[in-house]
Amino acid sequence: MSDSKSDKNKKIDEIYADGMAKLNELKTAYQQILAAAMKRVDGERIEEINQRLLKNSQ
Amino acid sequence: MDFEKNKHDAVEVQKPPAESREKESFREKINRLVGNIGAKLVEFSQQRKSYESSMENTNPQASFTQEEQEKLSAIESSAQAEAEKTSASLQEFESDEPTELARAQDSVVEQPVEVVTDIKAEELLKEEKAAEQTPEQPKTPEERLEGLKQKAGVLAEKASRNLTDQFGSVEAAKTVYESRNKKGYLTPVMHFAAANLSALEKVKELQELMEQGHEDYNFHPLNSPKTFESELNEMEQKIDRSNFGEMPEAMGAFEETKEQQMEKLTIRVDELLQKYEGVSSQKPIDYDEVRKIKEALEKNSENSVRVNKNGKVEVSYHPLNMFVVAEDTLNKLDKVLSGN
Repeated sequence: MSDSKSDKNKKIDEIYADGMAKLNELKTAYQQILAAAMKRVDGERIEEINQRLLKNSQ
Repeated sequence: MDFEKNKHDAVEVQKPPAESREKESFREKINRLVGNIGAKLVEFSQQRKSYESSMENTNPQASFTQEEQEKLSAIESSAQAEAEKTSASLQEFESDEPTELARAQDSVVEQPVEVVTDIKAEELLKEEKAAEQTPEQPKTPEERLEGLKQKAGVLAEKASRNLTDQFGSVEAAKTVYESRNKKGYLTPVMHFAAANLSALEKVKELQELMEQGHEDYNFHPLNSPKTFESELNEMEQKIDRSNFGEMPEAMGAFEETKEQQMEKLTIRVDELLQKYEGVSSQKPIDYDEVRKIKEALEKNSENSVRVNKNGKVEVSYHPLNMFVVAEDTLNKLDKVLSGN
């Protein structure tokens, strides 16, 4: 009975660890897309300010 | 990088103490684990909202592109499916334990889902909202200065965010960088820290000068022709070039190349020149030595720069053509100039 309980616990831990690892992998990929999008927007904003400053200095 | 991995593990296996774990029924355990899975899923939408807000505050017209939306949605769907699959697999074990289940039904209190609030992102959002101003077409010098202030704000926020994303906070980045720098070796991520820290410091200094009402940067004691705009452009390039995310292949490298050391030394020299420019009249010789090291680095000829057997960059900046380890010499000059 005790062995059966222990096996079951082990199996639960394995399923959980596997699921969490996959979610962590997905989250890493998700963060990379978000960070790249943010970088794009930052770049666009800075470019816009640069253009305005350039226009003003002419 | 360990912290890179750990950064993504905000919600980890919530293991109760050994004693209560002994008494924990399968149902309790499964509820706890399913709660953790749910919390992990919540992190996805929280992150998306946080970035959406940051983007809108950087530029009110900004939004995710179609391609970005599709990629994000695809990952969200996969995460949802994975969470459901794992939770369902875990819950299958409940039915195998009728006696414990009966006991648990009376005693189990639903495990609250741990919601990881992105406090930093919220603070950032508030700051951005405060700093955000509707762009106007600047025409007067005052309006031009306002444009420069806006640019400085964007750059400061970008450098801070780079550091916070990577190290948790600007202060943490500074501590890690200083500690590694003392040990004499710097990984690419440390170069990233150095570039963003020095850029942030410089931008803040420029912001302060602009706030004080200086019209431009030409009051520099060395009569440098630099302007607020040229300085901000330089910092913008420094931050952009530092992009650690674009050089993952270098993440594991611990041996610095000559070029990496040269870049680090150039940053260090610039920091010292900036730090002690005001005291140059009292300590001209030591300050002048720093400038000569900078010149030697810029020259980068076989008579001015070489790599010694330990892989360290040495420079020669005096008539006898003697080479010294650049980093050590700069550290000594820093101490002399600071009076320590």
